[in-house]
Amino acid sequence: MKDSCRDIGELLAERLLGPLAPAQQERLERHLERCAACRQVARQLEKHDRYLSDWSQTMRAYLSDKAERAAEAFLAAGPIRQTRPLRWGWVVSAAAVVMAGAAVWLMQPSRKDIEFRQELFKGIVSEPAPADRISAVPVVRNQGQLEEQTKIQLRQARYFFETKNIPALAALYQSGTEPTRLAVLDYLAQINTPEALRVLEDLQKQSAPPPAEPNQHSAIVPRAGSVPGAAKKQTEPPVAAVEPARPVWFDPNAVDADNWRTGVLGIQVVDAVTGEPIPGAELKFDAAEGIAVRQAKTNQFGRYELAISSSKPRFFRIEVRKKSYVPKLLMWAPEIHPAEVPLQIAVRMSPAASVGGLVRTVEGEPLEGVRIRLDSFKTAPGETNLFEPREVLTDHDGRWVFHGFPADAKENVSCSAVHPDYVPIERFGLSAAPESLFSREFLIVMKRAHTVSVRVLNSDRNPMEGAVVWMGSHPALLESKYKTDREGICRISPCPPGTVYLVATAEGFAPSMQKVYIDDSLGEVLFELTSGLSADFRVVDSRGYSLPGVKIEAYEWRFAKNASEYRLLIPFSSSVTDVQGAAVLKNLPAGKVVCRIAKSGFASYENFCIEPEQPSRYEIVLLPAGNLTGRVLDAQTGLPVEQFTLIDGYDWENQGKPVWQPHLRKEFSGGRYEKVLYRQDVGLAVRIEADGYLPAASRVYWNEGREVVEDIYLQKDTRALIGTVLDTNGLPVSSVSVYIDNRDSSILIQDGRILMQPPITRSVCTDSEGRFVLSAVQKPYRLLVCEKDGWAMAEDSLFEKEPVLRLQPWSRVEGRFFVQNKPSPNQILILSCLVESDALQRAWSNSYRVTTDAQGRFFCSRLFPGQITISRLLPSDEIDTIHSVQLTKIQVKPGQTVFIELGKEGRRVTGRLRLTEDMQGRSGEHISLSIQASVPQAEPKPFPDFEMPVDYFLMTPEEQEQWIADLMKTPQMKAYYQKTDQTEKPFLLEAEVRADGTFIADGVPPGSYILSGMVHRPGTVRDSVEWYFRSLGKIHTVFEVPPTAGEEDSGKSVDIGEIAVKPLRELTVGEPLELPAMEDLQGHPIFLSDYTGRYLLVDFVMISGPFQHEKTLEELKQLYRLHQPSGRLDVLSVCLEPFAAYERRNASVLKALRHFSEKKEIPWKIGLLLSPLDFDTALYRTLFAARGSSLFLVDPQGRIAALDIPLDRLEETLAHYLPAELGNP
Amino acid sequence: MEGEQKGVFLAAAEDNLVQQAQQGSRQAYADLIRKYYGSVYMVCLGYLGNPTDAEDTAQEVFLKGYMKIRTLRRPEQFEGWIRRIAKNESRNFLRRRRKETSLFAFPAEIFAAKDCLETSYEELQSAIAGMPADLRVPLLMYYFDGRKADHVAQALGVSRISIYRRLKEAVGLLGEVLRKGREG
Repeated sequence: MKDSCRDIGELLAERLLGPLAPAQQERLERHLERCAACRQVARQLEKHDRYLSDWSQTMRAYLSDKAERAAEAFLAAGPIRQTRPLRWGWVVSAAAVVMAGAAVWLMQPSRKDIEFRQELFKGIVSEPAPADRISAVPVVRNQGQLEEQTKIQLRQARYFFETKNIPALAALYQSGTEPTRLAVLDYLAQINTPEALRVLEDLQKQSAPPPAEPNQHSAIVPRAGSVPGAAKKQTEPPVAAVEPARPVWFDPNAVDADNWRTGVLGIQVVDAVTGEPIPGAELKFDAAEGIAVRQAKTNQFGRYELAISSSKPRFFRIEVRKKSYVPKLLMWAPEIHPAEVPLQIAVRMSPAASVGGLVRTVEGEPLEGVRIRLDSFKTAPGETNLFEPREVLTDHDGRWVFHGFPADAKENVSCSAVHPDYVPIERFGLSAAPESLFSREFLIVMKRAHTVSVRVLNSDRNPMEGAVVWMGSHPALLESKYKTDREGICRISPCPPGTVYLVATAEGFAPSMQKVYIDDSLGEVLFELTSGLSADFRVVDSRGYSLPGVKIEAYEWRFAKNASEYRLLIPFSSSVTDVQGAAVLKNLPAGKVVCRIAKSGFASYENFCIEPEQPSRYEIVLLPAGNLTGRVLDAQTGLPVEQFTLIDGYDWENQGKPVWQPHLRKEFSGGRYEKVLYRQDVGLAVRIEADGYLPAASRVYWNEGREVVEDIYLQKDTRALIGTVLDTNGLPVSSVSVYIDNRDSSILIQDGRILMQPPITRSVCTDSEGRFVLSAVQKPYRLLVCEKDGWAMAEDSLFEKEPVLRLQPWSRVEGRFFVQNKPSPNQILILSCLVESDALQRAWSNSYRVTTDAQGRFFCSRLFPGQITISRLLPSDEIDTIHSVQLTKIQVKPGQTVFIELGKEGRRVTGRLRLTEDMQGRSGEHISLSIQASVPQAEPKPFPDFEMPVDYFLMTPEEQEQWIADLMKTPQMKAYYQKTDQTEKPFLLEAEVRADGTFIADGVPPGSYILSGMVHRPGTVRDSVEWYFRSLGKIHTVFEVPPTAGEEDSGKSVDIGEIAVKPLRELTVGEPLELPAMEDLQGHPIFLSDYTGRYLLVDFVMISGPFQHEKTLEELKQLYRLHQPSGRLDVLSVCLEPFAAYERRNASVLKALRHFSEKKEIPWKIGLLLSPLDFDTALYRTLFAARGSSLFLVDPQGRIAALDIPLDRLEETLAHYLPAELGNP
Repeated sequence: MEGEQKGVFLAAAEDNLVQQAQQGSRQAYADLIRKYYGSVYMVCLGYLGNPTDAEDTAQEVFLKGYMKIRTLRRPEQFEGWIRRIAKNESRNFLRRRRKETSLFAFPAEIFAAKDCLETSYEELQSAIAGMPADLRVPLLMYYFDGRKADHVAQALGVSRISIYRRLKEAVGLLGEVLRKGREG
């Protein structure tokens, strides 16, 4: 390609700003050889570049003279008053003077000082109520005494600050000297809890800080020594001529100090329960740079001070250990905890306690030699409890004990149990409640597992050593990897029975995937790897020039990913483009492969799909990564907002709505944000959050290779509320967490405890008066408290009316579980309850999992009141489902304890389903079967009357949705649906079905029942569309459980024999279509026979189906116009609109439909169903498998010619039938 | 070159100057004026175009800086901070004067200072004068700062990428103006 002089001009400019890439340099030189005009420009530019450089030196010389004169003029000027910084800044700096003074003084400790310090801290440590002591400090008389007293008070203040003792700080303020008072105010501001701020405000009201010119106190004092003679005035201690004897704990590297400029970090280790300092705790430091000390111990005040040279070391960690405490790890590292290392670190160590549990097999036998590992958990960002040793083994009785568990643990702990031959029956990890651990009753049930043997061969059928085999329950969740031995074999054990995915990979070969079902019958799994396919790429820039150095990597294939964030690394192919911008990806598997195409400085493609079987060359244009930038301004004042947080939002599918990524947040300062639009195929938006403001978001931007500017205006949050948490007696509750749930967050509740995933979910903590501050929360939100003594929930509207959360007592359920009149031990029961929210249109579900003890007893202490569903967990063989059967539903009132005996009354019911071959699965999990009491069904209530707007069917789907939502809020509709709920059957029990179709249900009292259920397609995901609409059979039968004659009879089971399954089917091509009864818009009946002799296109439409789809309607009209005159084709629309079916007689619906038909000029008939379609009919099943809207073609004899015709195949399909017919009259 | 290899100690000493000035030390602030007068002047000149106005404004900037230095939380950011004041002051000056930038001119003294360079300072001056302030200011600062785009970006409160683009455009424009000048 020939370069234009304009392009070369750009290159010349670029060259002035830095060296060019070799390719560009070459281009430039080639052009300059040819083009005299450009040569001239280049020479001129170089010359002017030289002049500009030269000129800048001249300017510098000229200006240095000017500078000198300006400085002199400044010195000679009269008094200039310096503006005081913001009040807080001033207090802080004034306090810092004082503190720095203390620091300098402490750096040269005399013996007297040290003794004095010991004396001082001894007093504080031993006395829990220092406030009295402070007031006892004698009144001072002279200047020397005053200074001495100030020093004591300052250190007291510091100690109270570190231990966050707010009342003591307040008391100290009352008796303190002026510098002490300033320091106290500063500390309160730093503690920054609602309580501290309230105290601070009170103190300020009491006596405003003295209006002294801060100059006199001087401001920030640098570390002594760095600037000789600076601010010596009040910092000089009595000079000690002789080096004092150092106490044992004195470390030459440890000095008291206040900020990073002096490079000292203060560490205070305290007991998490009592708050007492812990002396002699062992500290182990590790940092990327800048520390001299690696190990140390805390002094008798639990303190240690470490010299460190950087506040943002690339990596910094502290391990703290002390006997009878749980060791703790604090860590600062870019990925883990990117915050700045604070000046003062308070380490709260939990006292260690012993916990334990037991492991049994499904058969109830104790299991020895199980390795139990408790997962250490984060106690705060960057802070983790270390559990040592990492694992404990179960003994002969299946019991295990672990001694280093935090005694103050409140949250559930996840744990794992590993045995060579057994696996836990719970698939999704084990979670232990602290109380069950402390009582050593935590039960883990395990079942026997299998060994899977995998052999990997190359294309010559030779074994491959070192091939990697991955295994997981889903291709995206390949959790473990194994290497093959010399025979190309790897054995994977223990594997739970069920479906797994295996992927074999090796360098130079395409990966291969297999789905296998693990059970006793599974033989060796064989992989034959081939070198696979390849794909060619060429990458150019926006001007069509080749781009070398672009990295192209294949990273996803059938959901298996090669991305480090997914913890996996399948060595898929990757390549880099050469000088011609060309690259080849090799060893690709067949099927869709997702690639990432990236080069630094350019916006990348993250989801570039290729299909290697269809060889083609992929031409890609990379644009430079543009910028999204702008100011962040206060909407009222227009002034920049200094500090804010930016959160990324991605628009993956061009929907105009970003999905916020709360974990991708970045702090900004200076009133300006900037974000590189680094992805070409993903839209990017930013959301700005700042203290005191409501969050605001930008539009979604797509990279166009240039800078886009959007200023973001923040509205002040005037709704900052102070809430209070009150207990059941109306008293405030301190130190409880209030969780804020909104659209971005997710709260999981298990066993009445909140499992939070910070930073996605925010929480605030109450102070000693039960108060908490809520600000900058976007509506709608809900607040939730789950505490030992009770729980509370409030929606935004309620909370803003009265900002109080009152704890309600938990409801409890206590019970026994019987099977055939015998208490049943080791059964896992799940009690679940819901709390719904109107505002968020979401419900919190709290599921409580209990295991029955030897007497079949169970107890749940933390349940929401209302309806509680009790189900029993069945041992499951499918990986991705939890299989449970529902036992009963009960109602519980707040604070009530309900006693329940499950299965005691009734008898066991057994029977067998007659399953056809295609209905048989590997287990009975695809069959849902329930037993309901047979009670006469109430006459269905008439659907309430409503007024549909005449243009309803012309509205957008969003408007329609809104209208329906509004309709549902009307009292009539609410009443209708409520009534429907209340007519539920009094007795409902799910039966356990086995693979051969036999079923069991325990605890069915005498009476008459309906047994009903569905046989779903084996292997479909539970509750998916497939599950419901592609089901294979329906069960519906009536049976009796006779009354028991005597005690012995009650233990006997009732066998109801073999039950037939009614097969459910879908329509097939060639069978006659049976139209359901329907009428047209004028009330005339429509029959299929009306259309005999013609082809009929039946258009089944849902409310937001093709009726909404302009294209379908237009296409149908066009086809109709084309074929109708020949009399060979007609069209009929069948309205599946539920309103029409239920409420045909509602005049407004009919009117709206007629209006629609007229407006859209629909020339054919629109049919309305006289009654809703029956669930069992083949038509219903066909339509709903097609998600409602569907086009059928019926031949002139009334038989189905084509089913579910896609719109883009419609013309083709019609062409296939109609011309053939015309050709053969 | 001074300032280019700003070692840890030098940086610390500079922070100390700022801190001392925050405590009210005029001597320390005078040292800061000596150090940063040049870059502040260049910002003013870039915006105002007139050497006399630039000098007046630079003085105003330093006076304001002294009065407000206690609000500066991070001493190490003094340079960027004072340059931002310069930018704002220059803009205020233009607003007060209610007219566009006067035709750009170098201080007359520098023409005298350099006698060996034919007449090209004038040529350069007129080429720079033809540029919009958006491009001119970064260009002047870039050269004056010893070719450090980061410094310029920080002082003008814009992104590094954006400053790089503006510089490229400025240099390109310079070339174009010069070529046209020659052709014409």
